[in-house]
Amino acid sequence: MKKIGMILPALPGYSETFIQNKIAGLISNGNKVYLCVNQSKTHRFKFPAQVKVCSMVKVGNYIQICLSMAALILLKPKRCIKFIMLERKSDRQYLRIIKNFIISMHILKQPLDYVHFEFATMGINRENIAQAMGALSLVSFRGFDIGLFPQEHPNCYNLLFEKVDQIHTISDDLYQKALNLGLSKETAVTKIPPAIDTHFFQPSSEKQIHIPLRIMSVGRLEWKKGFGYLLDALHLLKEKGIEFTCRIIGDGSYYEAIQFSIYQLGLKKEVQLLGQQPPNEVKTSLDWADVYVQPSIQEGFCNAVLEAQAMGCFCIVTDAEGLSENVKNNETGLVVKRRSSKGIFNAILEMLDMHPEIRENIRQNAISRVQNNFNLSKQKNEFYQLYERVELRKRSE
Amino acid sequence: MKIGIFCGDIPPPVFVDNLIRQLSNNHSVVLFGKMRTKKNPYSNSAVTIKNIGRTRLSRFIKAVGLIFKSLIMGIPIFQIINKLKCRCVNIGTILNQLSILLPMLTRRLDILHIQWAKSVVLYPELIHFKQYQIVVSLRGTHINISPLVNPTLAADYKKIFPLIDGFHAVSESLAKAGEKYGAAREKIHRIYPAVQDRIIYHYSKVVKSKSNTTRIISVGRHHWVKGYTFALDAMQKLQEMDIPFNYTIIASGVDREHLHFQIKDLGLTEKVSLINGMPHEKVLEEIKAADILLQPSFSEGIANTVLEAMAVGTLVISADTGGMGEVITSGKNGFLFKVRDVSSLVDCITKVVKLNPEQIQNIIQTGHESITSQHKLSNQGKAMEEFYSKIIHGLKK
Repeated sequence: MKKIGMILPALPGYSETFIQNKIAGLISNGNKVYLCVNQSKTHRFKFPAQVKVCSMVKVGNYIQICLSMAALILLKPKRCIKFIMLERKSDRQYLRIIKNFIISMHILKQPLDYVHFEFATMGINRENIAQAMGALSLVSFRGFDIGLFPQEHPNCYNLLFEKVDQIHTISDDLYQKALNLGLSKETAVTKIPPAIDTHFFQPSSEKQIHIPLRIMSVGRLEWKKGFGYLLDALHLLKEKGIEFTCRIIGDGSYYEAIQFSIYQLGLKKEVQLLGQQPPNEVKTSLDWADVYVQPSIQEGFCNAVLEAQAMGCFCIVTDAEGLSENVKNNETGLVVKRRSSKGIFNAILEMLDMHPEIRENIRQNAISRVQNNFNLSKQKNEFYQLYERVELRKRSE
Repeated sequence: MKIGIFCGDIPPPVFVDNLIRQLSNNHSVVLFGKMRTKKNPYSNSAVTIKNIGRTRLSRFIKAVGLIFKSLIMGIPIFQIINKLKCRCVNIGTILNQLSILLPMLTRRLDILHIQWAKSVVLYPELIHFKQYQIVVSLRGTHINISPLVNPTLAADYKKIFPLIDGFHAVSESLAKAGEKYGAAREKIHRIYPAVQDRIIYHYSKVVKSKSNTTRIISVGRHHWVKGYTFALDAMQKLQEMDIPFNYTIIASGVDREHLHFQIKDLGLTEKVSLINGMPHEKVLEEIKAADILLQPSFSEGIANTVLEAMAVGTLVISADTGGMGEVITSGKNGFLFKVRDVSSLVDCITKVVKLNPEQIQNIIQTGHESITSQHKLSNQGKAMEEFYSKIIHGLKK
């Protein structure tokens, strides 16, 4: 039984099915999972006994910090000393070392074999933890952590890239970006794309093109998801006289912006904002939809697009980061330029003008590609092999 | 007259600040709000600041003192508390509300001018237990956006607006929008926003040297409604067309991540700079040095930046939204483009770039004259005084 520490900002939220799926896979392989989180306020899931939740001490709660620090130093003195020595070796100042120690205590006290930073950002200032614990360190590249964060924080991963034993990336695009950020080509890397429950997401009826056309999109209402471009594209459709209904599932801080755009573009009758929905409802809507559009500007890979393909929706996505690996242009859907409402509009027209047989072929290709390449059991095996491989390699070194 | 101004934060935004300075020349002004700086921004003794308190404790202490003052003044404090009980969850919230309401209710004023329409929904007791006449400003987002995306707010406006004595609309379009929520037409007075006279006199007929690179600038706060993302999409088109330009966005606020990402994503790092806020005087210098002031907003009342740019002699290109069409006649004193339409904006900029210096100077001159005739602060001050007198006179009658 391996003891795997998953280092996360918080317990998985409703849209983070990729983390939930991964946890389930690791448990079924007989591992014990430690969810090490910065906050624990979203404790809405009941985890099985093999999952232990470890929360970071609350910054500002000085009594808790002092007590935890004293307990850790008494129980694991060697680890603490090693951690501080490694931090000093990394040329860190004492105040920074104390801060790093505080944000790492909840991880340091666990008996871990692997420290897996599920987002690269989680490894910043915690680069020395794994070595101090005698564990192996892994870093996942999932999207914003590589595509977005380093833009405002240049060189933030220099030490992490130096210390990490194994990289896991969900797309080739993210790996390429990490290389540009300074990751060595020598660092071991494995690509494991996200996976979905292909038994749950299966088309239940024959798909056809309805009048009005049924369009759907899923995602947090945030700028990264590019819903403004989708709405502009829908406006062009309306101007062209094409009847349609669009459902958008998700909630977020751009709700006001999106709702206002719907109003301003005169799409109140056509576009429904359904808010956050449980998987069953998402499935029902995917079953309802003819075409699924993912207008993202920045996107690691996007599980929602996998689900839409598995459900037999014709998918139109942008070329944002991993999306063009998620959907193969003209084979399993259409890929358009990001930030282009005209691109989305033209792709919808192209889909409508397609010979029904070609459209059906693309749909079927997408269904079988997702079922074969992005299913949970494949992902489960790949993660199992990933942890095995990194251990074997470390032993041979 | 004793005029009360309720504006949320102190120091207030430029347009409210202008109004206060103008009114304080002839009247005594009491400013209610939360002090965000330690220093009193007004040296004029006619302006009194009533700070509602920065910390919870200071607000509670003030609230208790004001309850006694209310009893002495015969203000129906128990009825107010009873009303508050209906919408406040605990005693702490009631005291907090009282600390905001009572400084205004216990002050002897001739008129209270509430700057933000949402305040009348947040503090309805101000209207129900008013001790003097109350007027409310109908400004941008509070009327054009919030009630559209929030039906509860729209319903609240409809309940409270009929009880208000007068409305100040910053544009004709906002006056019409206010009517939808129950503001009677005869109670609405349209008074355009204005520019300080000294800024207008700052204008000199210096013909700007036509450089090869067109200098474009946008000024505002960081908010989706300001349409900077949309402007950046247009800048990319300009770059593709090989039009030499540089674009500066001066905006304050924290929501900048998406703009940084977009600038890099579109390959505009060499041409676009993002400045996080600047003192007003410096902003004016920057506007004056630019060739074009671009206002790409999705929605606006009347943007003060546009007025200031026209005043100092910078050509303006603005989205045709809200009241902007009341200030700009496209092709005469500036240019308007179709809101949310990238190609319309690009056409507009290319048209301006092709103008000869004489044509540009004519437009700038006409723009400057528009401001002198319609948007002079001294005139606005007089119009506002007349408006207040009319409302107070109505009461006495």
